[in-house]
Formats: sequence, structure tokens, C-alpha cells
Amino acid sequence: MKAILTDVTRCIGCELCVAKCKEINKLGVDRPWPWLSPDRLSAARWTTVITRPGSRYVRKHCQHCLDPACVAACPVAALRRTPEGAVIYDVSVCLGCRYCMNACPFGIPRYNWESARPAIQKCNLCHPRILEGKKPGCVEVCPTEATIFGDREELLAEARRRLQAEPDRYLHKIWGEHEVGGTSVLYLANIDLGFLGWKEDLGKDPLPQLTWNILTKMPPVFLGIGGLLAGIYWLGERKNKIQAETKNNSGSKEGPKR
Amino acid sequence: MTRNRRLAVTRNILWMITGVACTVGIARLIFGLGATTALTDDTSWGIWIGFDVMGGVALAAGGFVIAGMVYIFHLKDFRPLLRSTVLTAFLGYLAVIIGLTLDIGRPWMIWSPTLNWQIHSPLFEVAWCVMLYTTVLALEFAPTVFGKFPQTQRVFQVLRRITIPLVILGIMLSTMHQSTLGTLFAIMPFRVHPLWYTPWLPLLFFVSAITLGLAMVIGESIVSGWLFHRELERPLLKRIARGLQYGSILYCGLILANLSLYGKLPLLFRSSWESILYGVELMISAVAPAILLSIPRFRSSLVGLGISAAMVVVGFILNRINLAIISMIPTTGSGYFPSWMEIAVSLGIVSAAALVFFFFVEYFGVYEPLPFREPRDNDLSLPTFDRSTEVWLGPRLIRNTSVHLLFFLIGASFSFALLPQSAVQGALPKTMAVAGPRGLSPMIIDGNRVDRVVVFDHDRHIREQGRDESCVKCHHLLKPMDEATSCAECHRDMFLKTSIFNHDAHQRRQGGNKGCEKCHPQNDPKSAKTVKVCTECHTTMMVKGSRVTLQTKGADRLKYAVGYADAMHGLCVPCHTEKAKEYQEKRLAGKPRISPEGSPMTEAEWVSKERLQFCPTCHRELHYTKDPIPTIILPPRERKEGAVPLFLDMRPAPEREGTAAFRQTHLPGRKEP
Repeated sequence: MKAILTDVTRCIGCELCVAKCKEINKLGVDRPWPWLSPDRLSAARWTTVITRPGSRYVRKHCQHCLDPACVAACPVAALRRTPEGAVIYDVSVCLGCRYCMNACPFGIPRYNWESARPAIQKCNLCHPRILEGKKPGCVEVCPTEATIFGDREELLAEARRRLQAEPDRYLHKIWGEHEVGGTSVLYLANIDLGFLGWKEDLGKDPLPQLTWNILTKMPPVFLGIGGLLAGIYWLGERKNKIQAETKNNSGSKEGPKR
Repeated sequence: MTRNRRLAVTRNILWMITGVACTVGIARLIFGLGATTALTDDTSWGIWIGFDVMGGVALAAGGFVIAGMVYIFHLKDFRPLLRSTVLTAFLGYLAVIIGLTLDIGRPWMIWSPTLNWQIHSPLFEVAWCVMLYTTVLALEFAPTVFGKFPQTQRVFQVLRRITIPLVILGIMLSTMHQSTLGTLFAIMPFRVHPLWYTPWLPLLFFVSAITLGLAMVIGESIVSGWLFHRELERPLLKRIARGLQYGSILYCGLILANLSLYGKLPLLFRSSWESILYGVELMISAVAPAILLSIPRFRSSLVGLGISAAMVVVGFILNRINLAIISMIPTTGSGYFPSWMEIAVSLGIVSAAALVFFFFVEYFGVYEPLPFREPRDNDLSLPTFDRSTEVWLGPRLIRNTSVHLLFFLIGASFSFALLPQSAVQGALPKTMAVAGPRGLSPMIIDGNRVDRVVVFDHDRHIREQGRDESCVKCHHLLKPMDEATSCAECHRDMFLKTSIFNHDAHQRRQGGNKGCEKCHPQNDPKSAKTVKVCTECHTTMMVKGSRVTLQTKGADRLKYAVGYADAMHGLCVPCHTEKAKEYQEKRLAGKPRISPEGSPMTEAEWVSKERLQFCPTCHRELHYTKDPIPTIILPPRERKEGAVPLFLDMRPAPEREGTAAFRQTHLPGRKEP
């Protein structure tokens, strides 16, 4: 399973990753649309660099969760997670309900609202390039190796090594190791990354669990309701029948009550 | 029918609203969501989801509740309400489907969930249930249509025989999707505000849907009673109001239990707008109706019933809108207010549903017992041609329709006139006002690289585009690989035709044809290429103090500064890369770079974007004048022969300038005066 490790302290904010991403995915130019988000991630910009005070630059793009909420939310399986770790999107079945945009805990998926044939737009970890044995474009062009690519386990080991080697350089945490069940995009940083969607209470449980726990209870409820109603109907009918019979036998004193 | 003025007027209004919505709907289908809605990347669900889908499904819940009461619980007294309620539910679901079709980005793919299964998604379950339940409702209502015609009596009999299984199936499906609409939000614990978010959402949705369905039955009875001058089933409505009261009390209890169980009660009493909104919603939807309906006098009066039903309807629709839209605003930090087109479509769909409802009431006797076969003078029939007078004698349906059509067209054309530019051209990027350049440092640039130069006020742009943040808005730092970041990117209207140079006016003032040579040299062809430049006569056109010189003779009639792309020496990247390497080498050699404060600097701090705004970050040899505001002038040895002196105004923000600390951190090459 592949992953990306981004070291925030090494990023110089040159945005070469953004340029390469645009080139590979043919995203076109950024335009000042009225619906853009302040983080500048958009349909034409699958990865962006957020400037934080004190010359800190943090790359924001799809976190490629190990158990992604968007994949569980999509009603038509247009989004799916590949064995390589990338969460990819297939426009041919998508109906454009935008549930994934709401379900994503990081608010990553974007939409090209200007189009009459819109599609979800998000980083695909350069899945086609991974299949060819290449690195994702953003990793390939990074001049300071602030963002690196490899096996998730190896990257986690590398992150731990860095934390041990230079403990003063970082906050002692690997973002993405456990959050929402773990992600394939890991961060090392010297600032809190809460603004990316990483909240303190994000928890270690994958979000799809929340809906799946409820959904699995539905088939028994469905059948139970059906059985219950059939039973009530049958009882009512029987009552009416008996009442009608008693009425016929005893010459009827009172009519059937509902 | 025509004698019923109330109905006629209501119909005309509804037709007009439908017309407005039709135009908008077509614009949305042609130009997409961005052109017609106020949706953003952060708020991707608007009122078409919150009201039309979430609200619509809940509003139509009366169908399964009344059907269950009549057929399953043998409460036969409620039969008079049955068919109108089932019809409302059926039309409600059709309205939901139409609303959803307009809302989803790719309407032609709406069938997708039937083939592409993804059982982990609550929305998949909702899609299937809505599909099936709409079919069930159609079958439940079909006897009313088939019972009318003698030819379809056999279908009518078959349909009546399968009523009980249909009703049971309908209730099963309703239970499923009414609650699963709540499950949709269970996956967003970090998006929905904690007051609204709870694992109990499915249960709350189900209970509120039943309550809302009952309220709709009351409301619809009262409205149709008023419209059709119909006697109301008062005792029945009173009994339903009882149910409504119990539903409200149950809902209140569930909310209270839920809030206290998850420890969210204190949230309710915070003085934030979310708490107030939640309180208002709870008050209107459940608390107030529960209290009001417990007063016997209020319960037995029609006004009281109407008020409480209206409160429940408004309250629970507010609940759905709050959950789907407003409760997410604190997290996303992005505001959303629907465009008038979104509101028009929502109202239009409801109006169209009401019109269809009226049609069925009139021609299929929804309020009369089955089978309804009473012939009427305004029955459905084709117009007949009267040979003696050579006139088409139409039934009233046709005649009235033409009036309605008129109102429909009025609405449609009115809305077409109101459509914003985006809805007739496709979505447009934001515009920025274009104003004449003023100020101290006008440059003449060819920002669009189309050999057309304009006076460009750099100062003013810095000032108006947010000082420190302004550089990146135009210089390529913001737009990688975007070679053509031109003036027109922001000033989209700059290539529109203007009458800045009025040739006629000039001609008139210079004495007609005699005056040609005042501007055009006598023997040259009279074209723009050979004409005098404006500044020759209008000497005050250029702002005084500008360092840009104008050449009025020779091939270089208008000398202008190079584009800003060249001014910034291409993209930031080469410099960043170079500096980063330099730093890395130093770090590897064991010499960490020390900041003025004495702490080691990271790569990012060493070559930050903020630094790149100032020329001396790279050009250490640059010197400064002794002005209070540092002005950068190219040193003489750097100047090439014949080059135009370029006034680059790259001064730092005034609030920080001048301080010694600032100069140290931002202008390391500068010597203290």
C-alpha cells in the first residue's frame, strides 16, 4: 500500500507540485469563480499550498483515507479505493449528488460548478502513474523532498526516524497515522494542522462505521415492521369476523367498533 | 369550476410561479448549477436538497400514515381523508424526484443507482426506497383513475385486491427511507453542528416525518376545504390533531433524552446563533404545538388546528433545512443564501404539484367515494367542430387552459427577463471594477500581451488588492503554469467596446473634413498607425511625476514597460529552488542558517514567499535611496543600452516599514542609513 509523507518544515511553498499536478491532470487555469473555497483548492487545483504565519507552507490535497467516508457515501460506487491506496473516481457512473463532498471529514472533493456536465474533482494520487511504476507528479518535482512517496509502513518508519533524529524540529506526532482509521497521506509538522480538517476529536474510528452500524439494523426493522403490520391486519380482520358472526348469531345489539 | 373564483385565481397564480420555475429550470439544465445557484464548494447542498428533497419526503409522509390507519389498523372512519392524502404523497414524491433531478449535477445519470449498487451508502438505500415507494403510491392511487372509466373496471378490481400488500409494503419502505434520510448525516460528525448531530437522527427523522405527515393532512384538508367550498371532516381532523399532539410530545421527549444522554443540554443555553436557531426550530416544530393542542378550546377550533398544523410544517421543514445546510456553516465557515432562482424552482415544483392535485380533484373525484363515474359537463373530452357556425366548441378544460397558459407564459417571460448574465451565458468568474488609473506611479504596460498598452497604476492595485497579499494576485506566484495571467483575467470587461475615443466628436470640433490633417499627417494614409498620439494634444493625459517616458516619434511611438511576468523574471520557482539548495548545502555542511533572532531557520523560512516580494532577497547589490519609503532603482551597471528605466514599486507595507526589526528580517541587504 503506497502513501505520501509530507514534511511541513521542508516545504518552501514554491507550488511546483501544484504546477505538475495541473500539467499531468490537464486541469487548466485557476479562475476567480464565486464558489471557491478560501483554501484555494478547486476543480482546477487538486493540490494547493496553504501559507501559514511564520513562513509555514502546508500542502492540502486528498488524504486517501484507508477507510474513506466518500467511498462509503457514494450511492453508485463512483468513488473507490484501490489496493495501491489511492481513492479514485469514475465519472461514468456518477450522478452528481455531491454526498461525498459533504461526507469527507477534510472537505476535499470539489466540483466544477461552471460546467453543465460537472464531475467531482479531487487528487487521485496519480493512480495511473503508480500503475506504471512512477511516482506521483507532485512528489517527483518537489525540489526539497518535502513530500516523498513510498510504502506506507516504510514512510511511517521514516517519519519515526525523523522524529527521533530531530525532536526539536517537529511536534511529536505523525498526522494521518491513526486519524479516521488512518490515511495514506502522512504529515510531519512543527505547527498544529487543525486547519486541514485534523481536529483533536477526529478519533481513530473510520467514519463509514457510523452509518454502517445503523444501516445493518435496517433489514430486521424492515421485515419486522412488515410482519408486525401483517399481524395487526390479521388480528383486526379476525376481530371484525368474530364480531360479525356474534352479531348474526345474537341478532346484533351493537355494531362493530372500528 | 369556472364559478369558483378562488380556485381560478389560485390556479392562475400557481401557473405563473410554475412558468417562472420552468424558465429557471431550463437555464439550469443548459448552463449548470454554478450559473443558477448560490452553491459553493463548501456548501454543496442547498435548498433543493434541504427543502425539496429532505422536506418534500417528510411532507409526503401523511400517505403511509393514513393508509396504515385505514387499512391495517381498521380505522375506517378516516377513509374520507385517504385518497387525497395518498395523492398528496404521490405528487410529493414526484416533486422530490423532479427537485432531485434538477439538483444532481448529472441529471441524465439519475438511473445510476439501479445498476451500480453500493450497499454501504445510505443514499443508495434512499434512492431505491424512493423509487419503489413512488411506484407503490402510484398503484395505491391508480384505482381512483381506473375506477372512473367503464373500460378499465377489470384493472380497477385487480388493483383493489392487492391494496393490503401494497399498503404494508409502502409502510415498510417509508420506515426505511424516512429514517435513512437521517442516517445520511450520521457520517458527518465533524461537519454538522453538535446540537443537530446525534446517532439518533434516523429515529428523530422517522418520528418527525409521521408528525409532519399528520400536520400536512390537517393543513391540506383546511386549504382544500377553503378552495373547493367543501365541508370539512371536523371530528376526524380533531382526532388527527390528537395524534399530532402525541407526536409532538414524543418528539420533544426524544430530543430531551438525546440531548441529555449525550451531554449536549448546556449547548442549548449558550448565547450562540446556533443555539437560538435550534431553540426556535424546536419551539415551532414540537413544543408550541404540543402545548397549544392540549388546550381543548384551541384544539376544537379550526383556526387553532390550522395554526398548530402550520407550526409543525414550518418547524420541521426548518429542521431539515437547518440540518442539511445551516448546521454546517460553523464548520465550513462559508455562508450560503439561495439565489432567487433556487427559491423560484422550489416554489414552482410545489405549485406544479398543487395544479396536478386540483386536476385530479376536479376530474377524478378525489373527495368522492369510489368508484367515481359521475359524468360532468366539464369532463375530459376533445373539442368538437360545429359545422353550422364553423366554430370549435371546446370543453371548459381547453378554454380555461388558455387563460392559465397566458399566466404561465407571463411568469416564464418575466423570469427570463430577470435571469442574471450567468444564467444566459454560463457561469462567469467574479468581476472587479475597472477604473481610470490615478496616483503616483503610473506605468504603461501591455498586460494582456496583445500589443495594446494601458496606463497601469501599480500603487493603486497594491492598495486595493490588500497590500501584502496583493503581489501574488497578479504576479505568477498564485498561478503556476499559467503563462497568460493577464489584466483581462480580473478585468473581464476590458475588451468590451467603449466610446473612449469618439472620432465623430473630434472631427466635429476640428472643423469637419478640413480638420483631418490636424491629427492625420497630410500625405500618409489615414489610419491608426500613422495618426498622432493622444498625448501630443492632450498633454495632461499623463500623470505628472511619472517615470515612464513617452516617445512620440519613430518606430517606438509608445514605449512601455515590460510585462510584469518579465519583471518578476519568470516564475518564482528558479529562485526558490536555488535558495533552497543553497540552504540545504549549508545545513549538510553543519552550518545552520541563523535568523536575526538567533534561532535556526528552516528551508521555508529562508526562502519564503514574503521575502520574494522584495527585490533585495535576490539582488543583494541593490541600493536604496534615503527616502522614508525605500524605492528601488536599478544600479547603473545593470542597465542595458537603450533600455527604458523601469519604476518598480516594491515597497513593504507602511505599518511595518521603517522599523529596524523589519529591515533586518525583510531587507537583509540594506544598510541602515
